Amino acid sequence: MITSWSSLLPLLIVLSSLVPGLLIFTLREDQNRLRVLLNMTGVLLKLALVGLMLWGVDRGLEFRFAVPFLPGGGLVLQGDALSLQFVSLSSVLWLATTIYAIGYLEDSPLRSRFFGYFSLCVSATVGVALAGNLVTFLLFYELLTLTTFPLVVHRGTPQALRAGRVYLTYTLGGGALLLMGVALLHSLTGSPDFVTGGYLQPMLEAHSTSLIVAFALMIAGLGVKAALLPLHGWLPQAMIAPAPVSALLHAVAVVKAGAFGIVRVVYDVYGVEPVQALGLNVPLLALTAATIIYGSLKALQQQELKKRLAYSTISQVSYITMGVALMGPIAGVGALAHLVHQGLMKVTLFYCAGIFAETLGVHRIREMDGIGRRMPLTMAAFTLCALGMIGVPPTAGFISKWYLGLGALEAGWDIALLVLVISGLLNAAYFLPLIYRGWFARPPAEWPEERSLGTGRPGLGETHWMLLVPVLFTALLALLAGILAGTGFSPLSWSELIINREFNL
Amino acid sequence: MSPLLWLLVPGAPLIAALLVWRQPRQAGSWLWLSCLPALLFSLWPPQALAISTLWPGAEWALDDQLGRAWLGFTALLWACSTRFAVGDLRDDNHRQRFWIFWLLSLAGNLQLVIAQDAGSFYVGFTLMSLSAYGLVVHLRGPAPRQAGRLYLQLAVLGEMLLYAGIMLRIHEADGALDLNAWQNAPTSTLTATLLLVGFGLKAGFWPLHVWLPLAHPAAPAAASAVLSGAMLKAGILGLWRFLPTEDPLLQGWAPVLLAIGAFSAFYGVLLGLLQTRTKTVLAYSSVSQMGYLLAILALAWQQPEYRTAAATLLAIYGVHHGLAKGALFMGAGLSAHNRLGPVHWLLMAVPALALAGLPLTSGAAVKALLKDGVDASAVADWMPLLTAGSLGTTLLVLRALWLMRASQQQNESLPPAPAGQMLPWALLCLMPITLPWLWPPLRGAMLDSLPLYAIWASLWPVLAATALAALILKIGWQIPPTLTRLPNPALIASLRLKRLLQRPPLPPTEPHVDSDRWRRYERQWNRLWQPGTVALSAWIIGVLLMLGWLW
Amino acid sequence: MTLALASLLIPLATALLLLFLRSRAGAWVIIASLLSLIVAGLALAEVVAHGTQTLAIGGWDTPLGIRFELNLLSALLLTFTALVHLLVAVYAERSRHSQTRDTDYWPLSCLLHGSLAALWLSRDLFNWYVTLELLGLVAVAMIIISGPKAYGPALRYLLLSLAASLCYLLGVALLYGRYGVLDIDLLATMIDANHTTRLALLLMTLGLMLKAALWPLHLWLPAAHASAPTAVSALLSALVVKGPLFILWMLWSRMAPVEVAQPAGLLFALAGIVALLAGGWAALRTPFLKTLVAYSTVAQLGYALLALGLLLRWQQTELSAALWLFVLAHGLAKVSMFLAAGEMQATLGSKRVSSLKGATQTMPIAMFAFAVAGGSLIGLPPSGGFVAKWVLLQPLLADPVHWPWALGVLLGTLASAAYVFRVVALAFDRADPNPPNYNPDAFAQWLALLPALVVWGMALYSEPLILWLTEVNR
Repeated sequence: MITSWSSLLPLLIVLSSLVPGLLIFTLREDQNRLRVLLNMTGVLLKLALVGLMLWGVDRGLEFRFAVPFLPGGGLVLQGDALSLQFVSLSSVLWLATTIYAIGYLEDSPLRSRFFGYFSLCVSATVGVALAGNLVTFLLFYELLTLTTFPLVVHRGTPQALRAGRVYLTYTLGGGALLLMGVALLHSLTGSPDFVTGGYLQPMLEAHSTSLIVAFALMIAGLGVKAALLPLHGWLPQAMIAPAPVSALLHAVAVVKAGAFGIVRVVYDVYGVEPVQALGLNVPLLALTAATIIYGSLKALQQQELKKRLAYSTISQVSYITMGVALMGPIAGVGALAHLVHQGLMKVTLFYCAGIFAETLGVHRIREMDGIGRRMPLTMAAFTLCALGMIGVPPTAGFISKWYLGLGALEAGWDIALLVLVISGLLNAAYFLPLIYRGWFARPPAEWPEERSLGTGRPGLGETHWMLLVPVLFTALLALLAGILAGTGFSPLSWSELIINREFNL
Repeated sequence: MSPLLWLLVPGAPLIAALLVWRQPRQAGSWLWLSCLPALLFSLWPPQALAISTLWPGAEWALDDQLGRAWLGFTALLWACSTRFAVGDLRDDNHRQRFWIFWLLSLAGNLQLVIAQDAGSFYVGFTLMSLSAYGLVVHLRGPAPRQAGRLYLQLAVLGEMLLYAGIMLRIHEADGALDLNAWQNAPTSTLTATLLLVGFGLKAGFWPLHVWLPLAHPAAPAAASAVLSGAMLKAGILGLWRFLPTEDPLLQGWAPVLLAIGAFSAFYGVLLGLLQTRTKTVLAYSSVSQMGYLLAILALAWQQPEYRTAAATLLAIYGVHHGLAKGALFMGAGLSAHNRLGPVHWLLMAVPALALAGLPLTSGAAVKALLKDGVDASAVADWMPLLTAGSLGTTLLVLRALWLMRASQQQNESLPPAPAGQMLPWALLCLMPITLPWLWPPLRGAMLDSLPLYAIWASLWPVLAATALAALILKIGWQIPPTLTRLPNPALIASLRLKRLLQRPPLPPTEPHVDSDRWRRYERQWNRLWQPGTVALSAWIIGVLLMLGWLW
Repeated sequence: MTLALASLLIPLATALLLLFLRSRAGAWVIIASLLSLIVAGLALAEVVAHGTQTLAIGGWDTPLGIRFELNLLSALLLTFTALVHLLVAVYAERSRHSQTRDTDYWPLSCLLHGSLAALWLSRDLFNWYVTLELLGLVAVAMIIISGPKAYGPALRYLLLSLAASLCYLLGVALLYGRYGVLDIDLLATMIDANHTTRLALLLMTLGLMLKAALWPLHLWLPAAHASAPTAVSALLSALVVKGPLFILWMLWSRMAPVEVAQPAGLLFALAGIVALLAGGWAALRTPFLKTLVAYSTVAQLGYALLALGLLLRWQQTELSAALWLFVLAHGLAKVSMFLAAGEMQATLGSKRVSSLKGATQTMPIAMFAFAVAGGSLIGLPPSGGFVAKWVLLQPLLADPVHWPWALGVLLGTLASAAYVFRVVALAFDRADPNPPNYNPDAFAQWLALLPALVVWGMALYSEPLILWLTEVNR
């Protein structure tokens, strides 16, 4: 029965952003303080609740909220170690992104609508993370599509609309495929709660065709958001959205929901052994490898900063999927750690891109010449996270790459190591020129479109403080996640905890 | 002493970097202090520090002579260079940027020496390697930019190869991250190749040296000193630490590696003699010297019983070459910008001749030990090569000195050198003759080289080379200009690569849709339905009824 | 049963009353609808508590008399009809764009309500004919309210509706001639698969399909629904087309012999898939907003047809649950969509879809209602449409042989997503917004949103709903 606090907690975590979001919709444009207050209350409340849940899960408490929904599969919200990894990431980055967005959208129209959908989007993300069975997952996954669409088209320009249409085409198509996959599995066994090791082992003999088709459908559906190779087309388009949205899409909400879904499907629905028995890991692995290389190559081709970052996301998110597809515990640790690491780094990169665009009007790569002299702190954060993307120690990206590489060898897929090396080289090829331009090239006499945010002097006043603080915060986290990887509260340790439970180690 | 003190080794430069960020103007003169912890710990190392909070397996310690010697000379060289660099940077607008890259590089270099696990080593190595790019391109202009580009391309390539190598090596060692455990884990061809090339790209022996003669001269003098003196050695240290001691594979490779080392030694000399700029000559001398270091490694792999002696030799060679080369690079910087007096030239001659192997210097000790090593090995009949190498090295340093002299003569109105630069430089210059008395292993080696036949053996190539040099000067022979301007294929390749990466020839992926044509089809389709609702519906009902009747 | 009868008689009585009493007609209708809703709800509760009830009117037993039957489905449909009428009546009364304020709309809508209620309760072929005829005539009359420009579509609708009635009547006559009874349960016990039965079924089916605008006999619907006043469009799309569908379902699932039903099921299902795609495509391409919504009705009826066809084909009674869930979800969503579309069309001053540029700013609530209702049409969770699709998919996916049908559902989903988001995406165009001609009416917009919210709320009760509706056929 829904009486104890531990069963209400997952619901409260979802509501802590949903309710402020709905309230924000009702606000007038000029009710600025109230909006900020609502936003920040939601953010902090969620952080506190997530902290509480982290504490509980670490002690082995169970958090499960369930209401009946469909026959054979209720609406279940459940806090386990894996979901908390994602929930913590999204709540922390929501904090940063909210502050950033408040600064970014200062004096722009339709803020109530923006922040309303923004909060709904986070609620959907958290719902995806906390979903306790496939039906619930599907529900929040679709809601995520719906709540992000208004954010993608927020600018309302023809390009934004085009991007929004492409985004919808892909994500709704993916959602439909996922629905088919989930419904197919549901018709076989219903939708029981996610369990470590999966629940499909007993069906393996009798229904192997159905299981393979369902897997393909679900991976295709999730692969749209996770930007797997033939389904990635929306991501570079969606970068037209305002910077906080891009940051959120690329780092937390959308692509991560896809990747997280793949993790769930492989680990907690099918289980590692059935997936291998059905021979499904090999095509998945091949797909991710191809995506990693392709994304990097395309990123190299882009001359626009945000586009380059977008293609880089395609490549980087597939690291997560690859780690899962390698089917080994070490690779799994790498994948789950990268889920967080990539989020931290990519969010920072998009923040920085947004700051460059807002403060100086810099959009293209060639305009970045000498930007490090004008905005050293932002550029330092950018550099740090770009290096992290390459996998340069001691940033967070290094830790994930380390574990993925070891995991590839452990699983006997040496070729995956080669993929990582090639991708590392390509990452370097498209990130290092930016860093070179930023620090070593001669700054132009005049920036394309300089606005007076902050004092305009290099340092803490180089841009609006609300833009700068989140950047420094997430960059610092990305660095600490690498340097302090061994501590108990690092993403790495938490991933190890999850994987130990998952593989019964 | 508390193990936590190890944190100071990379920590001090990082704290200094913060200081530079806040106080760029005042901090410079004191930055050399950040090397002090490392220097002290090389003499009195604290206990091993295992840090579970850092990346997995992190462990910092120094328990062997090689490591202590390495940390000592690295810290000393960096300290002197840091102090030396202050003078060069006085009027530099990009002072802050330089210092930050400098200190990051320093932190990395120190950390990799004290690393006892693969992760820490790799962290330090990468930090050093990538930050050094900032030092290479610090002086603006096309030459540093091109040199930097090549440096960075190869450094990144090296990083990635190293990453793959480390992963494979961990796998071979059953997940062990401890470098000591690796000493006994057998290796495979792929792993060994990856590590050799990865570290080799940093160490800069032939044929992986292509970036070195470009990058070292391009950087400011102090940076060249640490690049040549300290950072190249990190590659050698890596090979020593990462590859197993007794391994049939490496044993089989040893002759090839020895040959590469030997070739590198002569290649460096030959190409160096053709150069017209002091720092390039010195850079090629480094290529040549790294050949010797590779040869020592190969000897150790070939004869596992020689390993202890090889460790000592490596330690001494590292100290000797690091300090001497550092002093020479700084000297080159001084000679280009400041007027030097006779005392200065005397000081300059010390590291130069020490490199050549003059008796009573560290060079002679090193040469003697190396001879012993070769003598005891399976390639004892290569001995004459060592003598020839010594001759070549002497010629090379003489050429460097002569070029410095020439640059002084070209430019009459140079200011005197400031004391802030003179002191660290002089300290380094004196090291080759003072260190043999201060440092027991080196003292032993030098004393071994003091018998008369040994003195003669090391002295005559120096004398012969000097005589040859004098002869060439006398007859006024010039190097043919075509030889001084040999094309550099690596630079061309680097430029091509950059262009390729800037505009990768990928096909466009936007699908082309002929929307007009589809619109036409749609119109035709719509026209089909023109006759009107009622008529069409009636027809449909009629047809369906007919069909139903038949059914 | 008395409660159900009350729910039927209240609107009929109001219709008669309104013939004499012309003032304050709206208020009367609202009150009547509300009363009808309340008694229908009570009837539903009664059925849930006590099970199916029957009533022989005037005490005459079958085969002589007329039998009314109140089962769960009828009770649900009664409640649903009353609810939709109430919503639409409030809209028609309050909105300044309803075009119905002082017209014959009020008695007509009551008559419509009454005849629908009678249809849900009847179990008799001829009685159904009467209700159908009434339904058709009232619907045509209501379309004409919007003025001369609607005469053409209304006339076509009238013609086809009469033809359909004739077809149906012919079928009824054939059956009566052969078996001598009209009650459907009695017929079901007597019927066998002979030529007369086949022909009668074919005739009745064609007539009903024409009335229900099932593909390929849907051609009259878009123009008729699009040209009607907003309130009428909502009623027509949400309710009127569902009446014939109900009869069709009753005929085939209760009465038709299995050996006839199985091959016919295949045809129904195929027609359903084609309807989904053709309707979806037409909705995607049409330049007019209300036509888009009307075509969406054609497409959505394809789901019902598909469910009906597969139900017959495989004789799986669970699929009726899918069918009726589709009907309920579609009805509510369509009310919301038509009200929102009509309100936006009137306020923004153009019938074209392109006039909705920037509607998220100018008319946020109406646009939101449109989008939310559209979400249910697409079948996004957690909406009524999703639940319906889910129930439909379960038997489809259980056996790999049936998977091609699932592909049809998938394509239908994508098509509906395409036309819904065609509108929604346009509404986010901030670059070139279309300014409204009038001050947007917040109340009407909220009213449009209400059924959309109800249809999403349906998902919360999906488990009991599915269980009830699955039991309907047993």
